[in-house]
Amino acid sequence: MARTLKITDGTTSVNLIDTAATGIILQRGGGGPGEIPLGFSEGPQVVERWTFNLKGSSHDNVASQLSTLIKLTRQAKQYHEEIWRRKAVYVESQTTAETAARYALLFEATDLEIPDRYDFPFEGDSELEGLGLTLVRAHPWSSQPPGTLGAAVELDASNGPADPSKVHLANFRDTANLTHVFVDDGGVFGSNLLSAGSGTALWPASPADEDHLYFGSTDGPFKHVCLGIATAMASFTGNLVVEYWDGADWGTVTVLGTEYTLFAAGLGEVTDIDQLFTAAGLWSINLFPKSDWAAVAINSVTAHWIRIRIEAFTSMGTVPTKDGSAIYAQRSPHLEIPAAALGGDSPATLCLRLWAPSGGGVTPGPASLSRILVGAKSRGLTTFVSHLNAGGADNPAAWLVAYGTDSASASDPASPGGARAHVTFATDTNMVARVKFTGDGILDDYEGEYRAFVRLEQVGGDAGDCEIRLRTYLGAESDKYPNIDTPDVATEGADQGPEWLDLGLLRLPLTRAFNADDLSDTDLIFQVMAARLAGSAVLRIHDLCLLPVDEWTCGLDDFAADMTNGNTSLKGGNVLDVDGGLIGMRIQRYLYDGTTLAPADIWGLMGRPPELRSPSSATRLYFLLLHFSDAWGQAPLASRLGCHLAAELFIHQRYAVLRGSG
Amino acid sequence: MSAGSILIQANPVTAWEGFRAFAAEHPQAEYRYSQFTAADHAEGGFWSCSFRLEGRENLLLEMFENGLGRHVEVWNDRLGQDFEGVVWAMDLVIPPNRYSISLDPVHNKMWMRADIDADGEVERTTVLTELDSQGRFGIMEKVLQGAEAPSLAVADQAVQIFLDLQAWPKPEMGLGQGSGRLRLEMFCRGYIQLLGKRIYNQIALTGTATATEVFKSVVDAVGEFVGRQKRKQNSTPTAREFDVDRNAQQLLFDLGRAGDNTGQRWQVLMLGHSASSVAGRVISFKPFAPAEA
Repeated sequence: MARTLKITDGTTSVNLIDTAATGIILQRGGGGPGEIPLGFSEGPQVVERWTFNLKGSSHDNVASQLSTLIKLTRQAKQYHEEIWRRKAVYVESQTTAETAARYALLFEATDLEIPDRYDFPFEGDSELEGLGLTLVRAHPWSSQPPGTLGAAVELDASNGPADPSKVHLANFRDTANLTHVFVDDGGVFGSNLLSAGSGTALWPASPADEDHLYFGSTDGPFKHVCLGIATAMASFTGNLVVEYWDGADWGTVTVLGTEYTLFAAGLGEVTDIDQLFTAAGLWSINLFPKSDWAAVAINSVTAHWIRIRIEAFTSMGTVPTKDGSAIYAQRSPHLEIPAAALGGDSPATLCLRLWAPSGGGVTPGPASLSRILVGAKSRGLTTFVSHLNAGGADNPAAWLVAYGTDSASASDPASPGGARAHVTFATDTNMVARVKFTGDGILDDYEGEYRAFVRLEQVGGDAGDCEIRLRTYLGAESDKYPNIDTPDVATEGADQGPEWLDLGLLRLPLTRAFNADDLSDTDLIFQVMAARLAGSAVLRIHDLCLLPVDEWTCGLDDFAADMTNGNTSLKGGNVLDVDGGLIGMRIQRYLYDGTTLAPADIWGLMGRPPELRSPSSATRLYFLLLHFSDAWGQAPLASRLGCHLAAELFIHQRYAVLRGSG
Repeated sequence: MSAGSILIQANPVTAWEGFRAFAAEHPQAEYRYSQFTAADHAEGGFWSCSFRLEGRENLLLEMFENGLGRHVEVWNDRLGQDFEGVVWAMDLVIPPNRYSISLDPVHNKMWMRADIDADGEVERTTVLTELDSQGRFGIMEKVLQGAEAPSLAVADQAVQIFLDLQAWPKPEMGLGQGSGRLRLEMFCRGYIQLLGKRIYNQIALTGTATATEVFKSVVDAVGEFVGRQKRKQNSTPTAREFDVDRNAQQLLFDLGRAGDNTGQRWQVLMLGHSASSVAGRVISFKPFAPAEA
C-alpha cells in the first residue's frame, strides 16, 4: 500500500506524497503536529503545519500544481462560509502498512509559505523546497470521507431478523409478538405463515371478495405488524379494508392516520390501504389499539386479530409474497448498535436516519410526530429496560408491580402489555403511592443518569387537576432506606391521550458509583405517587420510562412552526436525519418520494449533536415518540402506542492518530 | 458554562415571521455558539443569558436585522432547559466596527402624567400607541412625567414625539470598536423581564382580594407573553385597586415579598418547559421557603 496524504474534494486531488519525477513530496518530519488533543473538551479541530517540496517539469508545471492546491484550499474555506459551495474538501491519509485510509474534513488553510522563486533550485530545477502549509482540519480522523454517509450499519437484531440495516421502533415495550398469520381463501384457511419461506403468497392464488389475511397474537394486543415483501403486489383493482374484533363484530378500522399508519421502505407516502404490499422491502402496519379490541377464535386459534379483507375485487395481476424472515410485532423502543460498528479509539459520529410511516395529514394526531427524545446507553444492557409497565404486564421477571391507595391494574389493549394502572382517588386525593415497581437486585444494570418520565392520561376534569411525583428507594421500600423524590409535576392535558410527564433527572445509585462499588444485590424501588388537586378526574398510568442521558441524549423538535396545518411534523413521505457531521451538522427533514430525498426544512436540536462516546461497546439508542393531540403547537404533547419510526444508522468511526485495520 | 444547543425561533406570541434555527457548539453547525452564560434568579426564574453566535455573514446580518424579540431556548446535555426568553440586544462585530441594537429604549405605548388643566393635580393624557411595533415586539409601555402642561393637546404632542422616537429599535454604530472575528454577541432576557415593560392600573374594582387573585388579575391583564399560570393559594388580603402606573414585574415581585400570614415569603418564577412538553413561558406564584420558626 502506497503512502497517502492528499487533499481532495473527491474529484480533484493534490497528492502530497508523490514519488514521481514531478509532484509534491513531504519533507522529512514535515507531516503533522507533535501533539493532538485526546480529551472531549478541546474541540474537534487541530491546526497542522506541513512542509514539503514541489517538483515540476517546468515553471509553468509548478504553477499549475500550486494552482490546484490553492484552489482546493480556497474551496475548503468556501465550503464552510459560502452556501453555493456544496462539496467538502478533506484530507485523506494512510501510512505504508496501514490497512485502511483515514479522512479529516478540512476547514481552511490559513497560510502557504513560499520559498524564493528567483533562485535555485527553482530557477534551474523547477523545484520549490520547503513549502509550508498551515491547515485546520477536523480531529479525530474519520473512517469515511466527509460529506458521505457510507453504508448503513448492520444493527443487532431488535425484535425482527438478525443484522438488520433498518429497524422498526415501537413507542413502548412489552412482549406481545405475533404468533399466527393465516390466509383465508373463501373460508378455507392455509397454514400459519408466520415463518414461511421466501416467496410465500400472502393472498390466495385467485383472490376474491371476502378473502382475508389474518395477523394474530396469542400473547395479547400487539401494535405493529412487521414483515418483508419479496414480490410486490401489482395491478390490483379492488378495495382492501383493515378490521379488528371489537368483542362482538369485526369493527372496521377505517381511517389511515387515525387508527393506523403504514410504513413501506420502498415507497414514499402511502395514501391508501389499497397500496398495501405494492413494493418490495420492509413494511409495517402500525396500529393505535382500540380499547375494545378483544380476542376471538380464528381457525381454532383464540388470539387478538386484525385482518385485511378484500372487497369489490376485480383483479390482482401479481400476488404479493413475503420474504424469508418471520413476520413479527415490534415491541421495543430501541435499536442496538453492535460493538463492531463502534470501532476506533475516539467517540464516533453518526447520522441517525428516521423514516416516518404514512397516514398523517393536516390534523394533529399520532400519525404525525412532532418531538422525538433519544438517549444512549452502553452499560447494563443485559437486563436494563427503559420502560416499566404500570399495568404489571410483560415486565422482566426481576420487576414486580404493586398498587397503592385507590389503584389497581386494569385491562386496556391501548396500554403496554394490555394493561395499565387505574387510579380512582376514591378515598384519598393526597400525594400518596399509587404504583410501585420493585426491581430485585437490579441496581447494577441501572447504574447511570436518567431522565424519568411517566406516561399517563388524566380522564375528566381540567388539565393540571392531577399531579404526580416519583419516589425512588434503594434497598427496600421503607423510609429508613435511602430515597429521593422528584418535584411534583402536573398533567398538561385532560382526555387528550397519554402524555409523558417529565419528572427530571434521576441518578442511580443516588451518589456516584465507582468500579469497586458492588451494586449487584441492591433492590431498586420506584413509587409513582399521584394527587388530585381539584375535580373528579381519574388517572390512567401506563408506564414509567428511564431515558438514559449520561452518554448522549437529545430532543428533536419540529419547532411547531406551522400552527395551522402542521406541515413541519414528521409523517408519510418524510425522513429525518439527525446528523452529527457526516454530511453536515443538521437535523434535516427530507421529502421522500420512494427514490430521492429532497431537503425540506430543519428541526430543532435540544441537546448536543450526536456522538457515541464509548468505542467498541454495544450501545442502544432508546426513543420516545410524541405528537400533538388536539391542536398544532398546543399542549399537551401526547404519546400513543402505535407511533412508529424506522431507523437506519450511519457511523463514522474515529481515530486519534492511525486507523490501522479498523 | 456550556449548553447543548440553543434554539432561536419566531416569537410564538407576536408570530410575525416563521424563522427557526438552532446553534450548536460544533464547527460544522450553520449557527455556532460559544461563551454561553446564563443567570437564573430565585425571584424571577430565567433571567438572562448571553452567547456569541458565529456563522455565515448573511445569516448574522439577517439575525441582526430581524432577531430582536425572537424566542430563545437553551437546552443542556441532560434534556433539561437552561433558559427560555427573547433576544433583547445584539452587538454585531464586523471588525473593525461594532453595531448595536437593543429593546431597552423601545416603547410603543405611552402617556404622560401631568397637570394639564392647572388644577394642581396630575392627570393622564391620551394613551398613544404604535401598533406595528406592538405587533412586532409586544406591548412596551412608558409613562412620561410632565409636571405641568398647557393643555392636553400640547401634552399629547410631546408624547407623540417620544413615541415616534422610541417605538422602533435603532441600531448604533461604534466605529473602530470591533475586533476579533466576525460574530454576533447575543443578549437575551427571560420572559419575566418583559413584564418589566408593562404598566398595571386597575380602578374598576375596589376593596381587597387574595394575593393570588390579585396576582392572576395582573398577569391576565398585562402578561401577553405568559403561556400558563401556576398559582398556589395565598389568601393574604391585598388591595385590588392600582392607579399609580406600577411596573407590572415589580408589582408581582412585591406581592411575593409581602408573603402570607405565616410570615413566609412567596416567589414569582417564570420558567420554560420540559423535554416532553411545549407549554413554556410558565409563571408560578408559590411559597418561597419554609416559614421561620
